[in-house]
Amino acid sequence: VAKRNPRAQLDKELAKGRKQLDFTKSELDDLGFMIVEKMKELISRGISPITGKRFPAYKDAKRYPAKQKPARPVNLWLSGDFLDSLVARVKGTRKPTITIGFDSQESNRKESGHREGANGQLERPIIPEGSETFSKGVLVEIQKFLARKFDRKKR
Amino acid sequence: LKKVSFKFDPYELVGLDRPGSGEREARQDIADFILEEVLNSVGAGKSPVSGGQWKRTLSPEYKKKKAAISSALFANMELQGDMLDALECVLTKDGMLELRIAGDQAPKADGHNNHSGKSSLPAREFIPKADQTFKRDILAGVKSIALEHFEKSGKEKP
Repeated sequence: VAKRNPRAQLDKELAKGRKQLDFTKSELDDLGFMIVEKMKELISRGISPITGKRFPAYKDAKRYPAKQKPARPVNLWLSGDFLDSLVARVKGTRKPTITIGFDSQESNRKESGHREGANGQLERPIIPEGSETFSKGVLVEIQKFLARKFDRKKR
Repeated sequence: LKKVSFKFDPYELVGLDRPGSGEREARQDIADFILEEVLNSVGAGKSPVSGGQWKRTLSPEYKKKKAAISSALFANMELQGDMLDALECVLTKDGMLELRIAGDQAPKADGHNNHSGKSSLPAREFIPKADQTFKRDILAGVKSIALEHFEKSGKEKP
């Protein structure tokens, strides 16, 4: 009768646990898509996906947006190009990571303008930077997504 | 009317004990989450209150007036935005949270939430009354934030 090796048993359990925490590229694609959708949902309702608070109102709605678009909600929507170019990309194979950003230089430029408050506009960034992270609502959605996947893998 | 508010113990709301250390941080996270979720529901034209009423359609006259300012031609509680800008969820000194609109925007908030019982406006409830609570998905989010802080504080997870 073979002796049970507690150390080997523990290593096996740990390896199993690590495998359950590994997500495939396709699962990360799903997660990235979900994050972008949640961000767009919040932005469309005038809520920052970073702070979870309302975007500041336009300083002088007669100057901007004037007649280009309604002044409410403050949803960063004009032609639609900016938010359409917001995407999630999964990069890397051994340790894949999700990057949220824009697939257009023009949108990157606009985001910089929103972050820095270019041309006297109030700051309305949508991509977390430095010590910033996503709003609590986005983080809870990510947690729910991961918990669902983890439960499925455990079965 | 100076304030329309819902004061609550977030842990009691989801049937949990208070986490040990870092309780204030946990409560701040929950407050931020509640405000965001309430704003999100209202922005979608839905009540965040469990069983809460919400008349989504607008009267033809008001719809016409709103169309000049807003792209949302349903009831999202935002014309100029002053009332929703005044919505806040704050930590109270006695360890609770308070979702509220205080000051000059309070009468507007009461118009739709009718905490006074005197309003004849269509019901659009976004601040629960004392005997109400939030919708299930909001409570689930509160619970997951509280549990995360339990783990951080080292207190045994309930």
